[in-house]
Amino acid sequence: MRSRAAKRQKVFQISLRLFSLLVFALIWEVAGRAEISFGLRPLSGTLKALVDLIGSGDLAYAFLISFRTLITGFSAAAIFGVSLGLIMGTFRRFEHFCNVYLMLLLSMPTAALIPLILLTMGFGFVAESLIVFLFAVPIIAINTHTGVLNIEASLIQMSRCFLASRSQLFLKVILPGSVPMMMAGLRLGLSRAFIGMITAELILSPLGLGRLISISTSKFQYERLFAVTLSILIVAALILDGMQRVERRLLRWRH
Amino acid sequence: MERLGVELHHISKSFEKDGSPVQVLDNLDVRNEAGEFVSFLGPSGCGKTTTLKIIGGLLEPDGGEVIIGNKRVTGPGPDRSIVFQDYALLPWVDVLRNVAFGLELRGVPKGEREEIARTYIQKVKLSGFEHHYPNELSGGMQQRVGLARALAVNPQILLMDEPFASVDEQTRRLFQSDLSDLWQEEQKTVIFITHSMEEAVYLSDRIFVMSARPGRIVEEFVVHLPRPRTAQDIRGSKEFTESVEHLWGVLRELQ
Ligand SMILES: Nc1ncnc2c1ncn2[C@@H]1O[C@H](COP(=O)(O)OP(=O)(O)OP(=O)(O)O)[C@@H](O)[C@H]1O
Ligand SMILES: [Mg+2]
Repeated sequence: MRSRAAKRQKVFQISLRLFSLLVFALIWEVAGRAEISFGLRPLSGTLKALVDLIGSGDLAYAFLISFRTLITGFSAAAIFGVSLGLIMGTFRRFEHFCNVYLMLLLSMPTAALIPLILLTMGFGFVAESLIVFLFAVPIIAINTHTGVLNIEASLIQMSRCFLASRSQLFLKVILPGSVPMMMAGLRLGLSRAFIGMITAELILSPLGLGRLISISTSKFQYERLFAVTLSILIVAALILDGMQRVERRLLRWRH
Repeated sequence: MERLGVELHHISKSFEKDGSPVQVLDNLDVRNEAGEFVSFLGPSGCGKTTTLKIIGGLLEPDGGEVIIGNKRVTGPGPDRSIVFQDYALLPWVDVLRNVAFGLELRGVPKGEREEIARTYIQKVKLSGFEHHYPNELSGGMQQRVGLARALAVNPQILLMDEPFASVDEQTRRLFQSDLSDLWQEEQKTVIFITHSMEEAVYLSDRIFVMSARPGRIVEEFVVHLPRPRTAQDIRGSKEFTESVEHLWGVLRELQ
């Protein structure tokens, strides 16, 4: 039941967003034509290169390769991170054991680990997926853990009063209670996974998006470079938006 | 249904505060006969909730023991349920599931438990709100959900922690007479906490007045009003006003 005023508000918000994009596109075009710097190409040229990339299938292929890495690494991080967070929230001893590593992994520049992984694992799909995993996992685990800790003590007492078994307490209170923080963690984890994927490919991959970027750069095909970057931006934004929609769906009770 | 009494033998309890123990309950000795309605009255922070949680088996006393029907209490049990002062509702499920939660934990089939829940939802005058989430309800409505949940598991002993504190005066009076009728019908053993002297006098067989820091019983007051009590003639009676005046005298001494 959305009121007319709310609908108008929504239309207004969307128009404002589109306008903001338009302004950005205009500035880009003008700045590109004015040749502020040699590398900066106008939007029109970038779009043309994008069409070419799509037409030749190069872009689709690169996305396919990159997303295989992203999905593998992120899925592993989601499963492992959520489980770890839940276990840490349930068993206090485990919490102190793990926290150090998670905090280290979260606060250090994760890219610094890449040479180490290269050295031990060599190039390839597995090494790249591992890097994506390492980028995403700490924030997912930490958020899930915080989600468990944030569950009100009174809810746990209430469940005990109504005779919840340990598994019921977990399934009916702790798990659903930590979903909000867990979802936020997964969303942040996914943005970090994107960063991990591109970083790994820029350094490691003979294929994929990162490679497309580095090849375009070395061949001075700046339109292509901009086109690839733009496509990544758009896809990443769409996926994160999709996740936010799922999250809102799951957390209807909060609104 | 078997009727159970509650006995508190020399209960004491302290909490840790900044490394040093603060005594909250000191040598509480109370006997609640089977089927009797007793109230606890006392200033904020005197340990009423703590007492109730000890009886509910959610907190362990440092000294003394709680005996229910010849058995020592070691934890929560199917014979008792609590109406929590802070409602303790699951925010992610609707009213219907919250009310049915105790039955759900006991493995009552879905159809059956929802039918029972609907009866109690009607009793607390929340029909039509079955599919609302707690954050869509006012404080008083949430409190009634907690009340319905406690009644739905049909315990022999009802532990009620200021169950009418957040409902408006009209509803409160209605609930008081409903509770009085319910008690008259089912002769449950009730332990009732309140700040309202009128409420205590109207509902109880006996009233325990507690002092603060450390909490102990300073007065045991027997209410000599006839039963069944109907609100109109009781509240106007001389006995009623005198009882309230007497309790006020005791409480004023404590300030
Ligand atoms: N878990 C706890 N840890 C430390 N102190 C506590 C804890 N629970 C209660 N207390 C302290 O014990 C005292 C009694 O608390 P309790 O909640 O039993 O009071 P109460 O009589 O129910 O008060 P009110 O009428 O305000 O609900 C308070 O001083 C409170 O600060
Ligand atoms: Mg209290």
